[in-house]
Amino acid sequence: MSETHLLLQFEGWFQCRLATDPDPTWEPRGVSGYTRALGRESDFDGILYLQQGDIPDLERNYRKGETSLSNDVGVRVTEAAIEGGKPLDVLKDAQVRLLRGPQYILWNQIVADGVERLVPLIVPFEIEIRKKLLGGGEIVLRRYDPLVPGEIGDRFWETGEPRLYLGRLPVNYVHLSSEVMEAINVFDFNAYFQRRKEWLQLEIADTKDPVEREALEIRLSLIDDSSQSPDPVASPGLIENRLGLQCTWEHDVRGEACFEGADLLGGEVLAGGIDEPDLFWRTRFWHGGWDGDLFRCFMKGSLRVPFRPR
Amino acid sequence: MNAKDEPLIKTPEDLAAALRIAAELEHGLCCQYLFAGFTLRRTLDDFADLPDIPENDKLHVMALTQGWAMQIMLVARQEMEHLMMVINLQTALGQPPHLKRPDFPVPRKTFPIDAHFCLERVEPTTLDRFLFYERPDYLAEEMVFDDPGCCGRLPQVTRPLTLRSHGSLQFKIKSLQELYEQIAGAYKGENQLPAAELFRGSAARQVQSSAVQWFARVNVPQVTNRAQAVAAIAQIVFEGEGIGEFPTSPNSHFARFAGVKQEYKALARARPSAADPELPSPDPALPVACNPAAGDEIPPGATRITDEAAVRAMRLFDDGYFLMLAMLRGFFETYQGNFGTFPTFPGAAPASALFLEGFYPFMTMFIRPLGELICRLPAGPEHPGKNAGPSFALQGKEPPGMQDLDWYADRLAALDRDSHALHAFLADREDRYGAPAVLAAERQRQVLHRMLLNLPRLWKEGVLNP
Repeated sequence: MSETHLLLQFEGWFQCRLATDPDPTWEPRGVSGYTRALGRESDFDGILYLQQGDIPDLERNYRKGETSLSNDVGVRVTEAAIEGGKPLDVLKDAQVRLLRGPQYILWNQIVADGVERLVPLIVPFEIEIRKKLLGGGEIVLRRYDPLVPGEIGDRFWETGEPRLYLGRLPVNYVHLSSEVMEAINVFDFNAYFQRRKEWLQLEIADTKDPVEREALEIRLSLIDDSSQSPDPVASPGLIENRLGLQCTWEHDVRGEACFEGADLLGGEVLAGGIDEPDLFWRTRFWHGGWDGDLFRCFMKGSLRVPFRPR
Repeated sequence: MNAKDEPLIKTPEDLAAALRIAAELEHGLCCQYLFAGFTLRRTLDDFADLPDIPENDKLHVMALTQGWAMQIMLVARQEMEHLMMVINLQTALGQPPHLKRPDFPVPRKTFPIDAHFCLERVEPTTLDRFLFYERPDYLAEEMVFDDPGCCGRLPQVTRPLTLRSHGSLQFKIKSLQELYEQIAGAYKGENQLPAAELFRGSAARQVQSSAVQWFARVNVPQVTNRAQAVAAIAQIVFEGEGIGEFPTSPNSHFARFAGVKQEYKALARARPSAADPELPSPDPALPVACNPAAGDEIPPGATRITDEAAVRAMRLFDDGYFLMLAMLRGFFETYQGNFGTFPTFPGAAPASALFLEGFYPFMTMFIRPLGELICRLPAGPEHPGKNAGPSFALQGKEPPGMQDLDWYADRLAALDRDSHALHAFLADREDRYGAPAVLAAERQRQVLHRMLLNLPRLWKEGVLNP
């Protein structure tokens, strides 16, 4: 039987609390960059969380903003279909995750460029699509991609040759993307953060807890400092201008695969071969609309899963 | 004597000596500021020795120290910027970049500042010292700093050092501002030196920040004529002492340190804990030893660190610091203005290899994280309750000019080995040093290993990613 493809489209906001240049990668709370861990928030972990419920200590580490732009975290499948066939609605709204604690890897110009272009690796990379069905049962598609198949694996510090993982580096970087602006429905970045500042001012006035109030005040001052600096040699508006960036990855997913609940997909899609190691999956996705105050970013992309129908 | 009277700089040799003094000053200030920044308590783990302090009080201190660290690191970055501007003036004069400096503590009056140069944790005397370094001359009478010695002791460790690099200019200049006024007088005015002498070096070898994409409030201009040289010097004293705005620029180092000191005093005055007024305010800095040193010979007034892990980490730090300076000097001596669009640098190898290894990786991924780790290691049984700290020791060595690939690779390989050994040492004694120290050392080992592996390809291709 010849192979065909299961095509999944996904999108949504994710959260990543991380230090930014010129802070060291593992700076715990932020000093010189425009991101800071504040108040009772945990130290930064730099991990991409695609589902709100996966964020550790959610109550402490999930910043709030104005309600109209709350950027609720949750990347989900928006469309699923067999290539050239009918939609597979059973997978619609499935949760998308990146597992194993993935992080952006730049290492301050040691591994990838992060000064003007932001073109990080994402390591480790294991994508999972998970859907719990109302009637019971669960469908899970999961596959890992080693950065460098073989001995090096994800230990990128054990090679100085980026050609070994060229495919995992971003294929495109846009500093101000109209696609991102449309996806997040924000076209006036200054107004976007102006609303955030007004919301923060109201929150500060209403907050009695001194630790929380101090954290809100610092958030407000960071937006001010990083948006409109009187200093002629300061980086202009890092928080504001990062909102329009778009970084795109496109690569195979080649490692061990897992597929559970094939029988729940429907008779015509029984997926013999979906977890065969020689049939690579392929993903293309972008991250953009980075809100450096909320630590949220939008993600949109697709996953193409080959299989041989029975 | 001051710039309005008889000029001190009468010859290109005098100017060369004055620029070497300026380079040592900026370099030495940078190290002191970095050291102080490393000592601030910035996470809850940093309060492990203060278990009785309520968490809310710790969080308040952390909010303050986060802001102080930001200000101190920003000033330190601008001292690096000033050092690079001085190097551009040296290059214009046909002089090599001067990256040597005496080890800490440096006795008062060795430099044209009547105060010691010390590696001190953040405390009131430290902030007073920093304010004194950066004060504008018009505050000289109001701002008397009766230097109590490093960390409030050792009133005078030795007589001022006599450094060959200072030529005959030492003892004749009283402040940083006056030093720069004297230097400016060589470029403009009735005592200016001939342009053919001032700008005989290659203009292409001067580094301009926009050409290599330095941001974060770093602006290094080229100096190819008198006006540019005078403007560069004015920028240094504007950013440092705030000269050019009255009473001072709000973004000057002086104003930034004044703000930190004000908050420090307010913290000390504040009612300690709402929960228990008897509790003291938490100390915002770690108990780091004064002028820590771990070399075979330590300078008078330094504290000999004996804890084995700390000594290993400090020696790793000093070896890496020396290699970083050698890479920077090699870069400054071979840069030809031929960098392309960052970060591709076509055709700029091997200068771009030294840039790509020496700046971001060494400064942000080695000096700072390893310096912060050392400040969290014990100083040794002779110093109960005290922590170690990085010594920034050169031990009289001068970072050499451009070397071949093997020279840099051999030293990076040694750092790789030593960081591996440090990590193994800490991992075997995790109960004593704690998991965060083991993790920090492991990350340091990975960083240095990757830098070692990057070097040959960067040397050949000059490009971070193909």
